Amino acid sequence: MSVLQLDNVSKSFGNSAILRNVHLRIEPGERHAIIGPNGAGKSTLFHLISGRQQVSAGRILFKGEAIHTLPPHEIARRGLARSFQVSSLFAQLSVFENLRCALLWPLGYGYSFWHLLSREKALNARTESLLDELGLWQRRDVPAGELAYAEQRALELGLAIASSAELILLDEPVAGMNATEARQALALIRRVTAGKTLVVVEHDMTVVFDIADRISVLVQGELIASDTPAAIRRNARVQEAYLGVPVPAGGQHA
Amino acid sequence: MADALIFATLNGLVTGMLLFMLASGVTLIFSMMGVLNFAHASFYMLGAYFAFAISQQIGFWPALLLAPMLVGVLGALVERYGLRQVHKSGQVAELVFTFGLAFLIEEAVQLFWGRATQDFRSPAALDFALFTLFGQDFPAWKGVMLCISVSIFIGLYFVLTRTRTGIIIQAAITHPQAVANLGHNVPRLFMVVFGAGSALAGLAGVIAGPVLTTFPGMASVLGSIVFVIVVIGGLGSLTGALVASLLIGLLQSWAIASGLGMADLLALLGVSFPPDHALRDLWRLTLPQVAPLLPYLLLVLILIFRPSGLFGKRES
Repeated sequence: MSVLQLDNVSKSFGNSAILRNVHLRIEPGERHAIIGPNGAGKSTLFHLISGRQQVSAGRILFKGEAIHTLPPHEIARRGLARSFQVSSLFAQLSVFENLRCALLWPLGYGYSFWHLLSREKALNARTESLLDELGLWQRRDVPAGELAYAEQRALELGLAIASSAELILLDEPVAGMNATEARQALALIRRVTAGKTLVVVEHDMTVVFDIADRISVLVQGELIASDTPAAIRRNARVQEAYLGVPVPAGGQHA
Repeated sequence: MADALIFATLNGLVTGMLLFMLASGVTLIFSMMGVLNFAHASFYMLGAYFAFAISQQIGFWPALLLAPMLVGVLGALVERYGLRQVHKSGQVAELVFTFGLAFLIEEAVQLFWGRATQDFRSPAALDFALFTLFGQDFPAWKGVMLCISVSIFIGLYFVLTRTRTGIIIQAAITHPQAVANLGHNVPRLFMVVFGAGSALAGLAGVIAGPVLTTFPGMASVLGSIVFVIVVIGGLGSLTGALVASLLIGLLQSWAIASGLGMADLLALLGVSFPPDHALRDLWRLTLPQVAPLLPYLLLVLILIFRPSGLFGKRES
């Protein structure tokens, strides 16, 4: 059974169609990259999967169950995590608090106004080990907004993996990084997502061919190919629609 | 002079902390949900009226507890069955909704209790002077008001920084959607925060009702000041709301107590006018007379020189 299955998914805002009849299957343990030029609908696709936006037509199954009608928190609770392209850290909270916030629900802490966070031993121990894993140990008490760019992205990754989700969606995890930072970030991503299913939206082709074992190409709202990296390289439609067009170096996705 | 200053400061603190109980709710709800709640002061008024009604039946002290709870539940229902539905239609619709709600509550209050001022009094047991300084009494009830509002402030601070829900609320202030993706039930969080904000406004109404009089216009009197505070402090900033509340409270109170007039100011400059001068009304203006204008004057100055407010983040 596929971890993630999109059947005939379409999304339109008013009269403009953003996504048209997208079919996509992602198998357990796969590292799947979604590529496509600006405005192809990659971010929208993530928003639909994570429940932030509603599909206009079609259905999305996670581990065989329909999730396209669920609110975002229900989807997250089933084991589907995502990071955001636009930095969505809680800037005024410390690194430690950011991670604690991400761990509360997965570790089964309910909402309460009277439980003191400082006394939740299991929560704090797990937060510490996550800090360690991300290499942010020394930045523990720094407000997230004051971190260096690469550190912010590492923390974002940390928020996404905190829940031990089976499926992790990462939106341009190395965008805006220099080569060294990107290499380190990729190593971190590989390490913390080992044994999980990973879906990445990415602009940087070297990153895509480096990390992915399957690639889907989205052009103007249509999925024109979904195959192995080697096959994608040879695919005439992809070459014409996407790879033929020079990719602007370090270009930011709009 | 010293006695006037001390009393003006105390009164300013009482007013300031009272304003904070409303401003904190407005600013928290705005930064989380993106809704500028025009009906917030109406919940304050409901608090006073509910407490008045309850106190006539079973006494003041139960009312102090029950009325805010009732207002809080009402606020939560408004969020759940009103705002959440309207939210789909966008921010303007939400704004119009809260605006309409404010009118609705005002009309409803008039329907049930009439236009007249209600005889809502603080408990007789507290009708004594807490202390007497320079021959002037400081009423015990004002001391209670100050105690309650300061405890609320401390409690709010504690809950937001130290508890499970508090930390999620803090996170949701900046990125509610990201919080949802971490598995947190954000709609429910919104309902709880809206309800708690309304309850705080209600509590402010209960303790202010006996002092500032309980009448159908009390919401609009305080409502506009609360918005001034939220803008001066910086939309979305709790610290800003606290500082601005105290600032406005003290400013007004000092202005009223000072008794300075335009004539005194002009006398300092060595200018004087004959008492039958054509513009004599202008020369006779006193600071106590213009005190109600001061918050708005400050608002205009802030909007000119620091549009994001004292503690607001700059729009990027």
